[in-house]
Amino acid sequence: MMKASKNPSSKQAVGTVLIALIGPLTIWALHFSVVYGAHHLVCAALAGNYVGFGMQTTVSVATVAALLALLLLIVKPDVVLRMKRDEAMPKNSRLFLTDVMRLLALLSLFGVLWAGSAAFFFPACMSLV
Amino acid sequence: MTNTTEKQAALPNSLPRPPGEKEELLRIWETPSGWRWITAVNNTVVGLLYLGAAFAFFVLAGLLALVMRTQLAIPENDLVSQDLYNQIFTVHGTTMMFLFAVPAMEALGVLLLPQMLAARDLPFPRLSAFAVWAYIIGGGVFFSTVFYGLAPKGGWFMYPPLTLTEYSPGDNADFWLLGIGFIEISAIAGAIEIIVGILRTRPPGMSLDKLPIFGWSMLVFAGMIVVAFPAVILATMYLEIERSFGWPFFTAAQGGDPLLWQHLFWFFGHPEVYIIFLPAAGLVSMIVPTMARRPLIGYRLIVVALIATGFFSFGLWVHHMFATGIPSLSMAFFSAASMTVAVPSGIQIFSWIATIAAAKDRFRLTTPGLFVLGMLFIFTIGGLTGIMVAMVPFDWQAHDTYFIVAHLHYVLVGGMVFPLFATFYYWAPMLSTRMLSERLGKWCFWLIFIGFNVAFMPMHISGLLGMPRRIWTYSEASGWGPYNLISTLGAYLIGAGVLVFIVDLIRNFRVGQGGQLNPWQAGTLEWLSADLYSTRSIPQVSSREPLWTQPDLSEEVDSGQHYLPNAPTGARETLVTSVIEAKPQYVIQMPGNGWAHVLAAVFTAACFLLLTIKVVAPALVCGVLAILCGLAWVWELDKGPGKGPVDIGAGIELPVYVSGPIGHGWWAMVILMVVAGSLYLSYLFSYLYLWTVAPKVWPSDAGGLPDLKWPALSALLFTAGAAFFAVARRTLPAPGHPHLGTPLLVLLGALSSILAVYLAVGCHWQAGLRPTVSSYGAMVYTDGILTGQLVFTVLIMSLFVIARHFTGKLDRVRCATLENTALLVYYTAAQALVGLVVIHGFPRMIL
Ligand code: HEM
Ligand SMILES: [Cu+2]
Repeated sequence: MMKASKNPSSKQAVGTVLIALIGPLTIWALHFSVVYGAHHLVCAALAGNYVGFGMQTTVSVATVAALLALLLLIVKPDVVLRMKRDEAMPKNSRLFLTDVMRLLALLSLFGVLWAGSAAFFFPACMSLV
Repeated sequence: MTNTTEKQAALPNSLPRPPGEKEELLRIWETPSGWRWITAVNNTVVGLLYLGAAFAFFVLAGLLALVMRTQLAIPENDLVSQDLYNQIFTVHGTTMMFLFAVPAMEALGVLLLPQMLAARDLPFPRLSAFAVWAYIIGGGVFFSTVFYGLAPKGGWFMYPPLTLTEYSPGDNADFWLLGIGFIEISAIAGAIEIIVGILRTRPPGMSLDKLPIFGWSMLVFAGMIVVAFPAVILATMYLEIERSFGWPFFTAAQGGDPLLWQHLFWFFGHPEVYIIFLPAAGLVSMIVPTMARRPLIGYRLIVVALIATGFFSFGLWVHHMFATGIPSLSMAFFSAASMTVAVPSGIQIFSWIATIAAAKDRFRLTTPGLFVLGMLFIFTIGGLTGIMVAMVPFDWQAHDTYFIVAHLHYVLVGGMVFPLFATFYYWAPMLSTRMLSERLGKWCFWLIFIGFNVAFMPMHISGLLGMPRRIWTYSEASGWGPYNLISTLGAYLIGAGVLVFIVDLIRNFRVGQGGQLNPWQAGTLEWLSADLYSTRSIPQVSSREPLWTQPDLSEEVDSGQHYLPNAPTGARETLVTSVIEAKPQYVIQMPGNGWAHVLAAVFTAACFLLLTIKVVAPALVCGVLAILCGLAWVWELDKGPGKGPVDIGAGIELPVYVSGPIGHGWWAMVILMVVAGSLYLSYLFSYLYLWTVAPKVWPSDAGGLPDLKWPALSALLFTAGAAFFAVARRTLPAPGHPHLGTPLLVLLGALSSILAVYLAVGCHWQAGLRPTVSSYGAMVYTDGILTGQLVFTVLIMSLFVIARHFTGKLDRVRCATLENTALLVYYTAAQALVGLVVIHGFPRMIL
């Protein structure tokens, strides 16, 4: 029988793959859930006069946080990917995963920016209908 | 000369191979003949059956489309009645989406992936076979309802309140709900198989950056199914429960909201479009390089595009709800996401165009090549109209008109049907001893291509002229007549094209062992010479197009010079490799042909169908039989470490039994937990959503709520259940020395979980809450149902584990069954605790 412990890199490998392949987009998804969720809650349940201001602040804070996280992934992928320490991982895989993660972070950055800027163009809770 | 000997010395296994190896492989992987054929689990057999069934549903749904088009050809036609028309478009849409498009892609996964990965089979062959049989039976019954007037009439998205009992009496809608709910379960089963297969059964050396693009696209496809389908399964449950028992999820008067259905449905429904498109894009990315005779340009970018599309497409669901009156800021979020998703799709299109433009010599205009070009043209137009409808003001004009019908068909037919035909022509030689005819293939292409544009281009215009979708007939005065007549002619041209394909298939498709070797001169592993056992040995790979860079590969593999050229355990097996680098880790012993999974599929289908027509007692009997068959099937899975480490070549000795996070069963369980988690998140979404639309039906003071000691006790019991299992794992006996401690702990764990659910739900009943009174009550009891289901599964699995113990099949080494059950128990406890906090905490918090 072989236990996982004989493959010390195995768990770490899975973690690395997960972070590289879904990390950046998870940040996008979180941002999206927060801005949409907050908006729905504020407008559906708590509708009041201060909502406009509250909404803009919420969206801005969430957007800035998400953008910073994504920038970090783009600029310093090694901070999050522990691949450097995994000596076993050959260069081609390392480069591949870093590249993919950076590009995904770039696309997510774009997505976050686009959704986040909406708050400055539309009234908080008004419906067009 | 020296060169070749040197090369041979570097190969994992040397020649000559011992005699009889090949014969043994053939014997082990043999397909049973005669009627026993239905017990087969080999991916080639099952994959072909799967694909054949999906294609049959395509033809059937296509025939319904022709009926619709004939009805609409001239104004005031009365070929079919309004009621029948409603059934037909519902069955057409539902069949195309659920019974054709998704299954066809899963079928291709089952059929092509093991060949591309040179694996002997995917890791859970019986699971795929189960999924196929469940799908064929359930799908067949669902489709046939259209012949007896029992088909649903609510459109493929089945919006309530139209589909509530008030407006849709009879069993028609229930056939959709139970039939489709069931098909979705089969799709999830297939998805689990595909994910574990791609990540773990790659050939040595095929690191992630060398995985064929189709593998990437199927990985994203399956991942999306795992996350998206639970949302619609939950919605389906709600609607069925409301129809059968009157719990008000969607009835506004009692605090429900029909828009909840739309949210859940489209949270699945929009990704569904990409679930269909991404694998097709993967297929195109395989065909284009072959026809261009050069590697794909932008491999990394395409991988990025596939993953990004998979994610972004979940942020778009509300663009199907732009006309429901949500605040403009929310619409802006979703409009933005709709634009964002266009970027990765664009990346793929440009990569293909670049590869085509950079072709060595010229891009070969073979039939698959033509279908790819046709796809580029049609899908791009569909994408452009997609951007148009993602703009809110335009959407309001075009909403629910034929413009949308045109758009959706341009996307779906361009994005999926064209690649599928390219696939048929391209990969047929892999399975058939004779290629399909290039001459008939070109006829087929031009008929479908011209027919498609003739049929659907005018719909843009009739839509802008105001023709609503899903109308049964229209008046002469509307002026839509000529456009519709043209559309109908086009539809018949498509039909003719499909007919040509079928003729071609009948004339030229001969299934036989080993088709021609690599007629298109492609570079990927599915073109290695193969037989029932897949490839003779499992190759060591060093590039993305091994057949281009390792010219002798086919011969080496076929003579058994690569890994695992034999069957060391004397049964079916395949190689499991590590996730990133694809280094050999262990050898899976796989199940062979059998009845259990077929019967399990039959009884599961019977159970669902009998429930649909409300024959409850026999349905329950079938349910029990299904569970028993399922247990008989998994009984054989955990074969145990009967054999020691086996030699696969190159001096590598691998174990044949592993446990813990390295094992493929563990992986499947974790994915199943993601499915359950996604279902539960959808539930939490519904809970909060209904609260925001109807806060008044939520308890407004602590009076109606049960005392807090009950949920506290329940939480304690759930935690105890998990703890019992954790301890049980530690007490596992050494092989051959069973003791009663382990089964006792397992039993205690299961029992305390049961008691915990009972307390969590029962206290509400005691406090006087009823699920039929308000959406609040319905939500509270739904949590009980969701956790109860899990606990029920835990109970069955625990009894199974106990039975394994008493038959001497559970010990410190052979412990996968207990391990997997424990995982489920931990998940259940976690979900239940979240549930308790929400159900008992939230109403108190909003005071
Ligand atoms: C290839 C030939 C096809 C033709 C001639 C065709 C024709 C039609 C027609 C006439 C309608 C009804 C429109 C209405 O009454 O509102 C329709 C609806 C629809 N079709 Fe197709 N179709 C074809 C292929 C497909 C394919 C391949 C798919 C999906 C993979 C598909 C998915 C749908 C869906 C989802 C609807 C909407 C049904 C609803 O409103 O509930 N169709 N089609
Ligand atoms: Cu959509």
